[in-house]
Amino acid sequence: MKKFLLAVLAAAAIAALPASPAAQTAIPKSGLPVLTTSAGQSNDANTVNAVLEEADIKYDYCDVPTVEMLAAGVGLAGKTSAAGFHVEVTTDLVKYPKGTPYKTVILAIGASLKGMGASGLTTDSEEARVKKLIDACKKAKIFVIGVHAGGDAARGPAGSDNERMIDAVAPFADFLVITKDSDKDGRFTKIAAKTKAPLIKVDFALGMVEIMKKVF
Amino acid sequence: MTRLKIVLIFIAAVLTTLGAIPLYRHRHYQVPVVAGPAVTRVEKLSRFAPGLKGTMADTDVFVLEGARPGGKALLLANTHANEPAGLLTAVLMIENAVVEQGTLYVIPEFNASAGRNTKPGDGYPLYFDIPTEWGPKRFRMGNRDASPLEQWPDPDVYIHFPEKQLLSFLDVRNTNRTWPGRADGPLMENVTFAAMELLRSEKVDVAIDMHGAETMFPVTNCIVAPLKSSKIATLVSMNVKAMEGFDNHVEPSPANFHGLSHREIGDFSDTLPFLLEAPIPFLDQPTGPKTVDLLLDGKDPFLLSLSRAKKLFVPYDESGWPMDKRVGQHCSVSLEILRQFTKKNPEKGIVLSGVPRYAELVKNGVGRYFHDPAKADPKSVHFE
Amino acid sequence: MSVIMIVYYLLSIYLTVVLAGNFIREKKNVNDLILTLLVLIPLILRILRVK
Repeated sequence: MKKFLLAVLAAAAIAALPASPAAQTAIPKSGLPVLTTSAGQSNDANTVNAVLEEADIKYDYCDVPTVEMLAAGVGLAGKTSAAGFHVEVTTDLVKYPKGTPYKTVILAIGASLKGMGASGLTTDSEEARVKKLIDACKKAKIFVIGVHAGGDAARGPAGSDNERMIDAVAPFADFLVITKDSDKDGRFTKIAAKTKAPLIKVDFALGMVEIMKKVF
Repeated sequence: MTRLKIVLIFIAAVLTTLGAIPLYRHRHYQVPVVAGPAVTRVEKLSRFAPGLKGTMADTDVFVLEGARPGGKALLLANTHANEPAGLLTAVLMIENAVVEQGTLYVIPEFNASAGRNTKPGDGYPLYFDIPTEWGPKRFRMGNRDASPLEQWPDPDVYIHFPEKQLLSFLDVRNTNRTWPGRADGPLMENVTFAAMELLRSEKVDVAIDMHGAETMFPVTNCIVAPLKSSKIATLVSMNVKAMEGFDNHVEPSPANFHGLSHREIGDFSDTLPFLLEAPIPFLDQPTGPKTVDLLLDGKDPFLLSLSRAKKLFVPYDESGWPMDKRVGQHCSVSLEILRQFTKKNPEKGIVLSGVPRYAELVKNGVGRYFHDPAKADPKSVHFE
Repeated sequence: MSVIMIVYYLLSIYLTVVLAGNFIREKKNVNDLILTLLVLIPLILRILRVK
């Protein structure tokens, strides 16, 4: 009887312990300046920019940056917006003058044929562009954050445009931030488990504001 | 033979008269709107384009002014008069909104001619009633396009002014294809020109155009915004999803599709345009009969089976998509647009109170917020 | 009302008169009588500015 009671008390004590640190994903730290861009040309790039603005983090943005523009650093080589090509420079140029190399690149994953078409791209050319960009980030040791905020609507069957964009970014990201809806099939969980990249899931895109505040 | 001819003429005359009387009554049916506490004046749209004066297309502009000066917003409804959630939202705002800062212009019947037109051949109801605490409030069910009685004939192809894009002949009577309009063009171009003049002369900061779209159409349940409005639209989308629990994604306004409010208002003025789409199952093609019930509750067995086959662009189930939900979406999204604009521009804020949000409208129903015109001061009752 | 719209109303009145004349003159074909009346209905509704 005594042994049984001790066993029950031990089990209760173990159950009462807080979850082990390994089960809570730590939010990695990265630095500024940051470049935001799109992988697939969906409106989710605007979501990422809106999140950073709410978090009071200044950024540079281009929907279709080339490897050369990435290498040019803050100011994106002086490029300006044109039809099908959008550039925004909100980085604090006093702290990070033009030409300062980017420390972080955030890619908003989500495919839109309308968006790609407006930029003169196809799924194939967008996929190739994104892969080149990520390769350049890896070479320059730039921290890559993959964001998927589109939820279930920005997913699809294997081989679809949305999944191809996930294939192009998620396995190479140093940090993944997604909405819970985006991972109903556990795809991102499996990718993160394989690459050991930290994965944070939020209920809503608005929840990414606090995450980004902790990253930068 | 003469006798036969007389009989045939008699039958034709009776059938024509029986058909014509309800159409005539519909065209002249007046919907009372009780101006709320914030309404300081009601103007005619022809103030901004004299060519509209004396026509059925001339429509009321309700001006709601706040105690504190601030920015200005224009709310448009019934651009397409067969998408009535916007009309109900506009009437709700006119009857209830208190403007604490800034000015709100509300045009509940933007395409007034379409609001008095009916759709031939599809068996649409002529009216629908919204239950209120004081009895049913009856509204006309209009058509997408203005009546040919106001603007006739249609061209073979409508050449958009000024972009010269070729559009369907029907679109010459569609006030969401005639933006920015011109003073000396067809009547519906006068209407959109008048609105552009209002936006430019009054220096309106935000324009919200409320619509409904089919569940089988990808541009539904969303905010359509051009680049200059997209940041605010994105924040609105994120906030209504997180705080109010409904989806409203952002669709970019296509740069090369001309005539629409979300494109041309932004291109031809400094105003930030937003076009809101709430799902309206009634307009979907593969539904059962077009009844008032389908219009108000959106429940349809054919759409349900299409939903199960993942052919719809909204999450649709046995609960349909009731009018209260649509009006709730329009109210919440409009209020959130104004809130996000005010956050970025506090000195030009547009702050409203007294307008229910999504959860309240779904719980209480839209009729709860309409006032009894029989009990109101007659001077405050306007007829649309 | 624009000039072109007035012209179209005049055209409608003209067509109505022509069709009415055909109806009166028709002596044999009942089908033609009915079809003429069917075509006249929308014209009359438009001239009377009902629809």
